[in-house]
Amino acid sequence: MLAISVFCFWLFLYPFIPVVREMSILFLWNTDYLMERLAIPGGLAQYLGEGVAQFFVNPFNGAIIYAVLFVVAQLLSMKLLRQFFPTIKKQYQFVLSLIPPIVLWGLAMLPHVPLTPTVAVLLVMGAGCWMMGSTSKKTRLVAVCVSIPVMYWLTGPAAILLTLCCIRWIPLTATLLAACLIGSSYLVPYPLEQIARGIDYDWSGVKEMGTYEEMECDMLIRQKDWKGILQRFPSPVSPAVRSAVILASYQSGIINYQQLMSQIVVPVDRYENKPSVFCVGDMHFIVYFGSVSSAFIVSDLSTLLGWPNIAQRAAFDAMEYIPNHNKSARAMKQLTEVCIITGQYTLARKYLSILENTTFYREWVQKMRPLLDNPKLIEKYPFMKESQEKYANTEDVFFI
Amino acid sequence: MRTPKTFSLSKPTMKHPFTYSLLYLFILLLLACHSKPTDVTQKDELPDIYPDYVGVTIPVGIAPLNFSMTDDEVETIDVEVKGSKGGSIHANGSFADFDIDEWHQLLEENKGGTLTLTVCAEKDGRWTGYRDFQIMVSSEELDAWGITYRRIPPSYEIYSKMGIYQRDLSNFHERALLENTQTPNQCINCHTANRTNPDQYVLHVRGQHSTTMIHRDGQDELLKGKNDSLGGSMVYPYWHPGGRYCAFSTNKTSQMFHTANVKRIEVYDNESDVFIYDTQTHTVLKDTLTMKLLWAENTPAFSPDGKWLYYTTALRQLYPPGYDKECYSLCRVSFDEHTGRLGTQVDTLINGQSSMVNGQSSMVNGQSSMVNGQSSKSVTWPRPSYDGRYLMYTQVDYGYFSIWHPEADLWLLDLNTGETRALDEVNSDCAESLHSWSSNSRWFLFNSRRDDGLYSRIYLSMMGKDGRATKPFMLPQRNPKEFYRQLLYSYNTPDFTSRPVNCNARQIGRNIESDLRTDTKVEVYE
Repeated sequence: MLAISVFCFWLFLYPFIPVVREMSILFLWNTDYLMERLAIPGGLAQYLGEGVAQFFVNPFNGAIIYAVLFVVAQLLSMKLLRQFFPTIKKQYQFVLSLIPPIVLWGLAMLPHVPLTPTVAVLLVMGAGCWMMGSTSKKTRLVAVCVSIPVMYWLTGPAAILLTLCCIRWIPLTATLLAACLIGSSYLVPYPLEQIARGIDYDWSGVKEMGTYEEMECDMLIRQKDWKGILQRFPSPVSPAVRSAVILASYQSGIINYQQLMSQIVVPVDRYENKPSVFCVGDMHFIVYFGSVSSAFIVSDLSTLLGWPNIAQRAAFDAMEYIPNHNKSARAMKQLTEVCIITGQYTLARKYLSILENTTFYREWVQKMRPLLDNPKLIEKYPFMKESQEKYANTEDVFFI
Repeated sequence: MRTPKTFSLSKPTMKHPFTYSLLYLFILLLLACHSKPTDVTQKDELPDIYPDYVGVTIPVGIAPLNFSMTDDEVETIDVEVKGSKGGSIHANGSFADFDIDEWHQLLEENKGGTLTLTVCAEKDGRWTGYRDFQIMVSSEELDAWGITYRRIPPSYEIYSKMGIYQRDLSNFHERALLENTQTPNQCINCHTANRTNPDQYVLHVRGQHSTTMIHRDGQDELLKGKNDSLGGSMVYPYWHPGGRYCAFSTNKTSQMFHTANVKRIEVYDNESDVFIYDTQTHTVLKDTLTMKLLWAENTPAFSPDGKWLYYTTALRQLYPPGYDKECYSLCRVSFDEHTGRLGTQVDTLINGQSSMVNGQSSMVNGQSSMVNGQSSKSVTWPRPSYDGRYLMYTQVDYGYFSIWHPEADLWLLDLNTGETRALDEVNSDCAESLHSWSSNSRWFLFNSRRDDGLYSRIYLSMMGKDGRATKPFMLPQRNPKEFYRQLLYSYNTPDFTSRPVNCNARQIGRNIESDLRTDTKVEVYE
């Protein structure tokens, strides 16, 4: 029941949230990527979280995976409750066991909370189950004391849950965890406050992932679902989404190219006080950044409008907006396309060699490689060929 | 029906630990062994290697120049290195990975001599031998422990992870001096030491807790990031050799983007001035001579004797229409370290645009020929050699932010003769800039985008006594091809450091976050 509810929730109501998580990672199957994460507290949880998030490239996968994660959380909670409170009735145990998955579900709704804390909690709960299996209290205490530093390094501050395994010894185990926290602040380049909060537990701060409107619009652009965009956003709030709606009108045949350009590019004075307004010649392109999703929208729209330079800039900025300094496989794919359109083949080769280490972009890399060796093969990709011709014949003007 | 026995590596059982140990040992041996050249087909051509180390000149003490074949399909590379004065080393594997100790011993033995490299490569099971090539081992000391630099990803609106790092040049060890994870959501830039001295440096932090940090006499002094009396931030610094003064520019920088051009972006200043900061009295010394209303003064640098302040200046233009007309000239003005005052006469050494020097004084040594043929070009990043003989600068078609100008080249001005020339020995079709000298002025390093056209990499070259530079070599890495391919960061503002920089990143981070700042005074000279 829980699994079906979670699955339907993510697939039909919020499919764009897992998709946003996927575009904020560049999960690579190489040692450097793993070691970079293992070098910080909570690194294993981050690595596994990102390993899972790469499957969110498809909303269906996202829904399935969330369902599995929350069911696992419920089963582990059930097992712990049986060990902690064996005398409580099973019905109550079941109801209580729903609390952790529901909390994790709530966290998953927040775009600035990555999968890391969810994975960390599951790992710690698993370790807790294993430790609670020990019958001797002394053995359990030793196991907890040994596990706290190890689990702290692997999962981050979620290791605090292990202190509950020896309630009588909480002062000792909590002090041990505090020592781990303070000690690690001398080893890793993060302020103590962030280490205590969990280095990759919470991305809230200056940078934003985007509004739900931007995230959903971005997902629909990615799926080239122009009708969906028109239906979902009759009165868009975000300037980026507004631009997407105009483009969707053009793609759906509601307006022609002249109307598209006259609507998407507006006179300077209408938006002069907005940050990061684009200017094409003496006209402004009505989008601005501010989040990962809006930057991706700008990048996609610019590619479709035949402005690869703007697309390249926006793709770089989309990556820079990712709050935990991750790179993005999606942005890198976009950058590769831009490089092919603009003839920067050496650079394209570099990006392809990185994407080759991913799970879901590898196949695309295999398709693109021959194109770099023989640029004439671009004939097979009408959109890219058209963009290349447009780029070559476009008059160079400035945008700000 | 009997199920056949399966042998799975993913699910090893502990029933046969010995068997598995043997299996893993066998795999390790397989990985460790590479094939040796047999039935070699000789080609009368140089091997196509990455990085291009063919014919380069290197200092004793530099890290091994490991390399790969550029062809990704090459499975094994076999390299024999023989010294002209004796000794040899050998490498065999997927890339040439020389033993560090053996490499250093070979270089010591062959100081002033040459190394001859014999390369064979195996592809599709067939070995090909190439023509030998040489690497010259200079007898000139590098006179540096390592280098410092910033690493930053390409970005325009916002910045992500970046940091200032130091790298030991004798091996591949890199250590972070300060990363912006320590000071979240802030930009760290322009680590600048005084003549490669790690005990005296300046760096900036931009963002919520912005500051200019000056490290001197073992103390960190944090100044306000934006100084109201300057109307902006301290930006491009250069230390006076005496260590008391530091010249800065203050810039109000903007950017605009090309829709269809090889150049992606124009970075320009709406305003810029040059001033001097007295670290002893915490005084900003402004002089109207380098803060002219319609002129953009920029990129200051002291002469090695401390008696001159070099800087660039251009008549400000309207943007966007005048973006390609802003050409900076190279000027200098005398400086008195006893009073902290600039002189009253400005010399124009290189004229950015002939019309721009009206009303200003003569050329250095009175040699006006220096500017012939150099009109309508722009000079940026003047860096005098520490022996006072040369001044290296970057020349671009217009503007000053050279890393985004593919035409940016290094030029060398001979301060004895007044002659200037393009350093064609080191230039490429991509941007070269952000150069620095070693403390003995025999070596220099610079940024170049020649590798892929976008990401800046560090190259080193030797300046010969005849004023000719040797073919530059890319900063060595353990596995350079893999390293630079995977690296999504550009190197920025590299400089030599005579010793390792000793800084406490944790403490610096706390100081930055604390917002405690040293008060500064301002003195204006008319």
